[in-house]
Amino acid sequence: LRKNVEDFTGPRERSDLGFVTFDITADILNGKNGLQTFRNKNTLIIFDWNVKQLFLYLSAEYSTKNNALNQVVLWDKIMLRGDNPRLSLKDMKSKYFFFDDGNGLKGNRNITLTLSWNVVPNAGILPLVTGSGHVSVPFPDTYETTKSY
Amino acid sequence: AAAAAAAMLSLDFLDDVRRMNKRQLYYQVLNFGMIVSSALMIWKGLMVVTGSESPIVVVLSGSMEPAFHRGDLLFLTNRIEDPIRVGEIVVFRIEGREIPIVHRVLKIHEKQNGDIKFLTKGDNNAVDDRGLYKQGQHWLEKKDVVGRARGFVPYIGIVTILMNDYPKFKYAVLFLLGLFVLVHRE
Repeated sequence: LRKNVEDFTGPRERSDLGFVTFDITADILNGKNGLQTFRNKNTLIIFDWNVKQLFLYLSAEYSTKNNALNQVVLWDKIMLRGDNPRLSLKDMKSKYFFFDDGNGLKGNRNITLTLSWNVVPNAGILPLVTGSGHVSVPFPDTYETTKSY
Repeated sequence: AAAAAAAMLSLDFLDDVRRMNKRQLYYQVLNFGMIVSSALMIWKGLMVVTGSESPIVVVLSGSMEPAFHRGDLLFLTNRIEDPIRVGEIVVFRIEGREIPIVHRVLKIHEKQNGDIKFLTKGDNNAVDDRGLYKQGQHWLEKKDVVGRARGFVPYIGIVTILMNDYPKFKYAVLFLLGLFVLVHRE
């Protein structure tokens, strides 16, 4: 699981708006037989007979002065059983606006991006799994006033 | 009630009911009461174990497709020890509205002391739920949450939706159930 990002913040009077572009390369493997269950800490997840779909989401987690913990979903995707389990997305823009609650993005050195997914079975438990591998992204200290986004 | 029931059915049932003496009738009524109380106890027990005021809900809209469809049954927990995190499927109520909504958490901002405000969005919706919230409300809080979806079974909840949309169906089901318990002899 690998992600590369570039980023810059946008000017906002009340709340910081961050722009992130990213690449996602992920291996979510198909199972050979339906009897294996997935293991939590590895990126091995098996599309077995009881998995209807995976709801993947890329979330940014960080701390600010205002709030001890912030999590923002930047991008999500529904992967149905039968879809290509290998993701290779380049130069993706975030699907949702990355607004902070306040001005905590400027100069924030430690934004962690993680890819996680929700396993939706045909019937049964709905677990949330975090992929292994995450990327730390720093935001710059100044705002950009012009950007071609 | 026994007479009215008898009037609706064939003579076989009629004979059965007439043959029951008073004591047996009281016994059946008590039996019925026991069943209702047990059901209530199970429901209340579930409420305690899960920490949710409504541990089982039926999905009413298509806003979480293709994961959930109308009629799917969701099992919820609402334990305080489980913090609300993005990606979770929450069932919440908007202040002043009765109908619970099942959507996914998109954004959270949590303070040191545990106060949290969060934003939700249905998987199948193009925009987040701010438009659904109360006028002037931008975030949801813990108090709005009925529970987090931990498991589900498809289709089963259709019965509840049918009963809601077609009240005659509901009365028919209840009537038949009551009749069955009263007339059935163990």
